[in-house]
Amino acid sequence: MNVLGVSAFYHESACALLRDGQLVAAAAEERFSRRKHDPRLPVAAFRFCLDAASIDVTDLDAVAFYEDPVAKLSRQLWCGPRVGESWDLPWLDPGAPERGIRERLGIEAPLLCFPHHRSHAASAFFYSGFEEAAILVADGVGEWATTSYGRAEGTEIDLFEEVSFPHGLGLLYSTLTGYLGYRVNSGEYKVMGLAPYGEPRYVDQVCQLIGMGPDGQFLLARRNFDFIRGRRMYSPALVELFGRPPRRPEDPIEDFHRDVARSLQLVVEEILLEKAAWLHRRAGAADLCYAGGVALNCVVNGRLRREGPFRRIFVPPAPGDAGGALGAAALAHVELTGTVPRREPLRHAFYGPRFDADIVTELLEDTGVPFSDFRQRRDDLAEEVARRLAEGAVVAFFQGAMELGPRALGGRSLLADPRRPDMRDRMNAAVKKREAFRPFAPCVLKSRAAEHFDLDPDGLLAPFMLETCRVRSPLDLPAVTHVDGSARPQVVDPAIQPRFAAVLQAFEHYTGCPILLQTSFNVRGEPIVATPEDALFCFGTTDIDALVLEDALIDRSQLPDSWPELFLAWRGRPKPAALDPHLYTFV
Amino acid sequence: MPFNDSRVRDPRRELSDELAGALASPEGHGALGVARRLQQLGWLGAPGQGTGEQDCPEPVTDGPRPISVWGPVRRDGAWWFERPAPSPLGDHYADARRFPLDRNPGTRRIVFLGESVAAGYLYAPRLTPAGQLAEALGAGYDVVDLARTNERLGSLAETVERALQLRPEALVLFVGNNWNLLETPELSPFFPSVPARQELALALRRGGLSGALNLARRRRGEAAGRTFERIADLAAAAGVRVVMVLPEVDLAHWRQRQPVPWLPGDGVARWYAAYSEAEEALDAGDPGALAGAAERMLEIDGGACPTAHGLLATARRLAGDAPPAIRAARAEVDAAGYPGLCFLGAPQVDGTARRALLEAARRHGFATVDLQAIFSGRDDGVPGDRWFLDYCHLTAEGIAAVAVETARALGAERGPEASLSGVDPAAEATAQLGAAVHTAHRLTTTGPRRPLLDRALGRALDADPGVAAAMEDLLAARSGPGPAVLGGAQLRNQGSPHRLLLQHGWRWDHLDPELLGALCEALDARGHRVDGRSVRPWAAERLLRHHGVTAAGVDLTRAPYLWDPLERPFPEATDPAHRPEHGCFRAFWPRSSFTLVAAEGVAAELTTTLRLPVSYACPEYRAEVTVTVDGRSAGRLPVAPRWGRQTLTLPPLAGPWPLRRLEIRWPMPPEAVADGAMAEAVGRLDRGLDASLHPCFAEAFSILARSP
Repeated sequence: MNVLGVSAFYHESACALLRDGQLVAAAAEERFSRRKHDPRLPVAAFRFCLDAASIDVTDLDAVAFYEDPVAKLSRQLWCGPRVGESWDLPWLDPGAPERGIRERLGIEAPLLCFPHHRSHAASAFFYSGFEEAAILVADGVGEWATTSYGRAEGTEIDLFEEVSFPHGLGLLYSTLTGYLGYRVNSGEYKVMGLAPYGEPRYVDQVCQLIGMGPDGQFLLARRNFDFIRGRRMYSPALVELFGRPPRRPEDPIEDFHRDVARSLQLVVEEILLEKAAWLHRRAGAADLCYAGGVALNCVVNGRLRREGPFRRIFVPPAPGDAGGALGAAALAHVELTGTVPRREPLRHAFYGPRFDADIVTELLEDTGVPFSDFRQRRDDLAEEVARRLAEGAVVAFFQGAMELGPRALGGRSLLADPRRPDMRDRMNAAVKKREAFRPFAPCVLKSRAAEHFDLDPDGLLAPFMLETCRVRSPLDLPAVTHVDGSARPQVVDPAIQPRFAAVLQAFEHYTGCPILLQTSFNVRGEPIVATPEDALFCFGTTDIDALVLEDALIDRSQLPDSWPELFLAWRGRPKPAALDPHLYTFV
Repeated sequence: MPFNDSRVRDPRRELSDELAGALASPEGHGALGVARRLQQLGWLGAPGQGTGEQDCPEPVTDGPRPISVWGPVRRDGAWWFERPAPSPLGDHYADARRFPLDRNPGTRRIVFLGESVAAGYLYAPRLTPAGQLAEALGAGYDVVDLARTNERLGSLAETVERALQLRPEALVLFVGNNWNLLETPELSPFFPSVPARQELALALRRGGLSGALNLARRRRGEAAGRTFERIADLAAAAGVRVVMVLPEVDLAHWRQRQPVPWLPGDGVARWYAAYSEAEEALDAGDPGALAGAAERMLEIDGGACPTAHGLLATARRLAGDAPPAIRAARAEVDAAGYPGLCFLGAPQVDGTARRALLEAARRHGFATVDLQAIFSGRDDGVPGDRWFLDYCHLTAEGIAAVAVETARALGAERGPEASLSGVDPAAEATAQLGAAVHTAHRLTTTGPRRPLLDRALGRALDADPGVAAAMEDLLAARSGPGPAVLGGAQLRNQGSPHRLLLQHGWRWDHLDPELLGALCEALDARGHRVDGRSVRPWAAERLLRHHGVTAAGVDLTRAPYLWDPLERPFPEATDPAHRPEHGCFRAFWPRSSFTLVAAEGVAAELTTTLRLPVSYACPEYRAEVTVTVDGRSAGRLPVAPRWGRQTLTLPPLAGPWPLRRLEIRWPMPPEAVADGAMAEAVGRLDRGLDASLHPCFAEAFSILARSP
């Protein structure tokens, strides 16, 4: 049985394909369209999923959409149009998802729609390997729910409690993200990165924005928010509460901004810890499955694992809207077969496109650029990469299938030596161009993880870089250690990623350090690279020292001088992100 | 903060739930459509303002303001305007890097503005109308070139306003070709605005397709009138003369071929039957039969579709009847307003634009240089390739004529065009090569395209045999495994005197098989060698290696295998990233062609997943499609309004050239579907949905070609 899951028309659209309950392929549309957070119907991701499974549209048994369009319309009607917009928008159209799926994807198979938070819950539970678990979903909003609590067992997911729009932790976080001068819908993780630089001096003010209620409940103090009808998420009352005007994006970051970020982060952590304790009691389950955009807050996740009541926590690699496609597909599988879609936990995120090494070599040969071909000596490639990293190089690493979710995990990564104090600046200067305060993350061999990081290397968060923890390494790792002594490591299991692990092993052989700095292979404003062509474009327009493209290694010194200009002329500047930078996307 | 549990009953939410449920029902959907029409008519207002931030006014500065892409900079105490360096693949703006705010004392400054024709498209930057005008005017004149490819009326007026900072003596405006394509994008069923779709629906309901076309014409005329009014006011206030160059277009060779929109009953079937007869007559060189078929098509479609006018123009030209050929060709251009509505067409000045230009000249006292009159005064026949590289862009001779006549209109006494320096052979060869690429890729023509390609490539090689290396680069880029910009051919060509820019089609990555075939033949005919051997086997080997059918299969419905890449709706054909709007190929012509790349003797296997439009409704409806390869029958396949997967083994392929035309002929729509199709499309637009005004004959999810 082939079931396609679709998420679309909101934040990141995506498709996922289950064959007999096993995940075969999944990817977000942004990787193909090259437009960050692309919410459009995932036409290219759809074609990719079918190609990856070697099937066509006639082989689909069902298609699952990740939210309930009528319930979403109800919430949209409740909100009314925003300033400057009329009712006359395509979103006032609950038929749009089905029409898109039928007319533009051409799918004739039965369509099943599932509530947004149910899809999120399923994207965690059915891929966790747990027999039973408590369920926590927290995001901006789907239809009405902004936070959901429940219990899952076998094929059943019971969401027994929810906090409804317009009250939500995601909305609170996004509001203060906007107030602090970052892009709503995408800058939330910058606030999380800024927080450790500050002091929690504004906890009282943040607590005035949100009131705790019984059970799983809380409420936002609505006079401080303007996200229902306005063009900004915060109201003048919130500005008055903090006593400072909102920061403009180009303004310098001051202690005040750091302190607000710290206070916000702390309050959210405390609320989630408290609600998790209640959920644990109410659900009566030892393990937790957690999803929704808020689950990308890896600082919260770390505290939940260390301080919370649950034995194990599973967060899927794409806990945001893209992952909803996986959840919807799993729900459809359950509905159609009455069986759980899979028993094994999801141990990796490599469900995107992959490229044959011979095809890549053909492409490189046609460029005329000299490269080293390691097809017949793959072990040597890991050695060569490690040697260059040990010498201080920044290496782009493109091997195997693309990762699902927002993190690069060794398929489309940039690598560097984490021991070098200047590496953060060098990485930023060479390619990433991001805020100096934001830390880079480490990746570590599984067998060495416990020596260097205060995390459970067998834990379910470790492969997906979804938890921060204390660095306890005897090594000095300035490029990957945050100001508060924390890091967000990925644990690399050689049984799952043998070739990536080989690079770490070789690096340890050269340096005694089994850890690398790892960040996503993209330039600021662009999605992570998907294809070898994307990789060459990115490599050619940055100062990355070397590129591993499957079994080929290209040195920057061999690149034509004219490539940066030519590529810019060919591709243009990065397309602006698809989402509103000021207002959480509700439609 | 007091806690008020969000779980308590919220009557507003209950009502929202109720309304959402109602709107999701069929009745609710209909009610929503009515509400939208009320809003369209202005009887249902939008809500009031909230607490959004106010827009900031533009900052006031003391210095000069930018002119188009030229920004003001101060150097050595004087103001200059400088533009960013053009990209190595060219851009849309004139090449002049900088010019001073203040003209040299004693010189008379002329500012030259316009669209791609004015910018010297395909020749620029080595030959431009502004440069030739400067020569024609001679010493004592300073011509500032502000022409811009894709210029529109709004940006033209703004550039004129800013250009007056240069205190010119005169403005030369050379515009009008772009308006049929670029000025009314909202009048398209694909334009993503609900109010625009509803407006289009209203026009269609009131006057059919002609109603929509007339609305577009009226709107273009009004926009042009407003723009020239503003320009006239600005020019008058500054005491600046205005000279208008009225464009002309190639009426001999370029055709605006478009599919016919929905017609009731068997209209679509009859129209395409006549179209087939016209094609046969064209192949047979029989102008009488061609004219007869074209006239039948006109009777059926009522003249709304440019294709029939174009065929008639060709028939008249072949018969040697220039005046009726010109009349028919102009009717074709006038009817082509709906490429902007649905399918990509050629930018060409039409009757609406010409009338608007003449009216503006009369009203505001602008001098004119009328290319229609100039070219027809020098040619007895239909204006064609003496003056035009393609649909509207001028040859060097055409550019020279513009320069001399404009100089005359500005009051300069100069000699004939021959006295100008003209174009260097490398630029001429590159422009002709670019024209060939355009012919192959950019537009479809009525009748065989190959003679046009052969002629342009021959002219390129005649002008400069050295262009052969650039042709080889183009072949290598198109036959390579990745985008052209990544290939070694790109780097070679960058250093060539025949450097190919985006405007020459460097970026287009479809195989354009007729172009590749013509390139090979042209090069082999001149004895060009690649790696010590002739071109054709070298290209064939590359094509087979990088694009040939494999055991895993090649899906021919995807780029680069579409034989006619632009036979797709406007938004899909114009998206440079080829992001499909649809997950499958849609056939808007009753025959679709794909490029099958396979070696001689291969008996490729074809696995097709096809369906007829779901609007054919009855699941029992059955039909057949026929498959041919290079004109030879390869088999028939059943199709229905639901997807069906079929496999067909093609007969062994004949001939060494590996680019094979695989054609599928689709059935005509049933009359019952055709009868209500346009009304259904209008209904969708009314509801704010996209709609097709043309029959979609079938959909192909995949056409997978495999080697055995």
